[in-house]
Amino acid sequence: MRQRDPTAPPEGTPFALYAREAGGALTLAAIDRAAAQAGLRLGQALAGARAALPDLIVRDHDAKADAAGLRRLARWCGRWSPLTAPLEAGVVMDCAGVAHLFGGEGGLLQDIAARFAALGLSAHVAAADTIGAAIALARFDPRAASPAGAIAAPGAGLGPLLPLPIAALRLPDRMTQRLTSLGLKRVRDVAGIARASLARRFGRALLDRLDQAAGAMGEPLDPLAPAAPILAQVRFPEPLMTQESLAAAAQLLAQRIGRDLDQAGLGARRLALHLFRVDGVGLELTLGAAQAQADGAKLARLVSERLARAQGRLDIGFGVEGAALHVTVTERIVFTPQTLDPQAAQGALAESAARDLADRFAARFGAQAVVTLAPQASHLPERAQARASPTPAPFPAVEWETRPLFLFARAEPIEATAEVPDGPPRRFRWRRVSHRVVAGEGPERIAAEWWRRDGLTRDYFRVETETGRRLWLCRQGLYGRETDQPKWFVHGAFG
Amino acid sequence: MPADLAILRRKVAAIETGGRQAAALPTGAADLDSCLPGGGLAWGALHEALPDAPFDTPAAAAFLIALATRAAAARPGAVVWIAPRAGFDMGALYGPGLAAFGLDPRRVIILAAPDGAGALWAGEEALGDQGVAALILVQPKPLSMAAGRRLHLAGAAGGALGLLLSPPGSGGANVARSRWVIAARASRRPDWAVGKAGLAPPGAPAWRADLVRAPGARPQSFDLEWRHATRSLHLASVLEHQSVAPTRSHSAA
Repeated sequence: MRQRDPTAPPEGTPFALYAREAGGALTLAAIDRAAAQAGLRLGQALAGARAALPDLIVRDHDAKADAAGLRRLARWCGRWSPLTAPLEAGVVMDCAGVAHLFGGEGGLLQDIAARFAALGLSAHVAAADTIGAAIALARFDPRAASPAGAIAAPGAGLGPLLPLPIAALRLPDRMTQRLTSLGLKRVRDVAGIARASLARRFGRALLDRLDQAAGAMGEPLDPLAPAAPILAQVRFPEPLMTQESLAAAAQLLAQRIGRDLDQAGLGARRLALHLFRVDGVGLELTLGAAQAQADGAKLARLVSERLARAQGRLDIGFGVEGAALHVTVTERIVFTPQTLDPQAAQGALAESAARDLADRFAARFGAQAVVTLAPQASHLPERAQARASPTPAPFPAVEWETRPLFLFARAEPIEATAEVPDGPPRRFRWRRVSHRVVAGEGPERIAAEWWRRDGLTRDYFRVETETGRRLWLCRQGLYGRETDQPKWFVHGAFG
Repeated sequence: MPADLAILRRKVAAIETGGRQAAALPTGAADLDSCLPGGGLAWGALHEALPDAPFDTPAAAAFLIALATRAAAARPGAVVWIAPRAGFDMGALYGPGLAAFGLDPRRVIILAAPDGAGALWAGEEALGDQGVAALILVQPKPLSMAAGRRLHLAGAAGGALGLLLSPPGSGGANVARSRWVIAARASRRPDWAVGKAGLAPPGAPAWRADLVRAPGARPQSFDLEWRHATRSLHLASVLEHQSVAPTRSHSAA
């Protein structure tokens, strides 16, 4: 879907987008109906087109924005089927098991055509057994442009494609040209030729496309959202405009999902909330849970935190007409054996509640805002901890007794001079205040990790100032060996 | 007779709380606990610490972490540390340091909230949660009346220990059940270093804690020391009169 531009030419003026080919030539990448009627075609050189049609208005083709727009449109098509994908300037939907919701394939196509027409988009719609046949019909069957669409009867195979031009087989441009120049202009013409001679003359590509269209060979659909084993969907009679109503709808979906998960004995680890805007844009919000979650009420809270986080950035345009909640990653819920010790049972309960709390924080502020800590085997202080996995190993307590409670993300430089080259400083200036050291211990020498080249040796000192502030000082570089001017830093603060 | 009365009071308090949990968390320093109503810091209430000066911020934060460590030992659940991004300028909580302090880092959830409002929301959420033993909320600005009230209500519902770290010199939160002004204090010299020349290593964390406000307690000052091995606070004066065997703090565990 192209962006609407207030400076766009009036309806009826021929209009085209041009792109730069690999060789540097400018060719037409998209044309409108008026331009097509005037005899222009895709791939034609821009100069030739301008010469043929002097009042043609052209613009630069923004391929990236075009692809992004198509993705948004494909996501929005999730309102009809959970499995949708942008494919070759179109959208492919898997409507198996979906069509009956709209009164059969005919009803589905009519609904799709009507929705697109309401958005001011002209759509060619077709339904067939295979992706290849559906695309061929949508592109080249004249019925595809009508509100009823083009439908191939189930099991029809290549039949409905036979009268279509050879280009309907989605072959590389050169092969299409070659076949046409040989007089093989319609699908019918190649379908009648023996397979062996087709393969010998034109290679496997042609046979594969024929087989894919006929259904003899599989063509996988790579959907935008992976097949979700569990999903819930809701359509609103009136578009929702407010955050509160969206949150309420999302909660409803979460409750339904929770029920389904519970029945299946599964828990959700990752979810995706899809919102379908009235103007044909699909929005996606993803969220995760640190432990498999099947509790509808807890899922509802997670979803509403996620919506609250998106609040400022979520552009709901002229309203949202439908929503779907997909569980994209599930995990079997493992029941930990009941313990008879009431204290241990309470501890396990509290632990699980704490993980739920961390999930809500992550949904609200983003996963990167929430940190739980795990040890990491490194003697470099700033690398000795990592963000935790769900069940981290215990920190080795004894080795770390000289470690500070707070570590600066970026060590703060200080002005310091040591009386003895390897001793702690007796005075230093930090944050514009002079500090006098009255107690200290060190150096604790920490060499750079040998596999990292940039490191200098560090000497750490635990010092206490005369006002009782306990700090972790660091001198970088060995005096005389690595540097003549070792640098001093405050790297941490003790309690 | 007064002893009987004390026992009776304790029994009544246990009945009132359903016998699940004592109403207050003792700090470990007997003289301090006896000043506080209920013999310690009330669960489900807010307690506030203010650094005496900007450089005392690590000391005040460590004092609150000490209380949270005690809370985590007394009650299952996590210790939640919430600071607005750029709201705490003394570095980030460091796992090995927490472990050395006596608090298992795996029980700590750290949240860098995008702003003050987010931090308050998260604080309220944490205080009302059954999975939380203690909450430490870093507030770069004094708490508003309404925000304090909301936290207070959440705390009453959840029962966790609520700890506020307020900026130095601010008036403090009205809802805080107890308010402390914390200053770093010179640590106790190890016995072997007394009278020797040269630098001695710093000892265990030590603070001067001024109890500025608590119901039924008069303002007074305590010199406290944290023993990570027993996870308890001690009055420095008591420790000086006892002969404490371990001398270097980091050989005590």
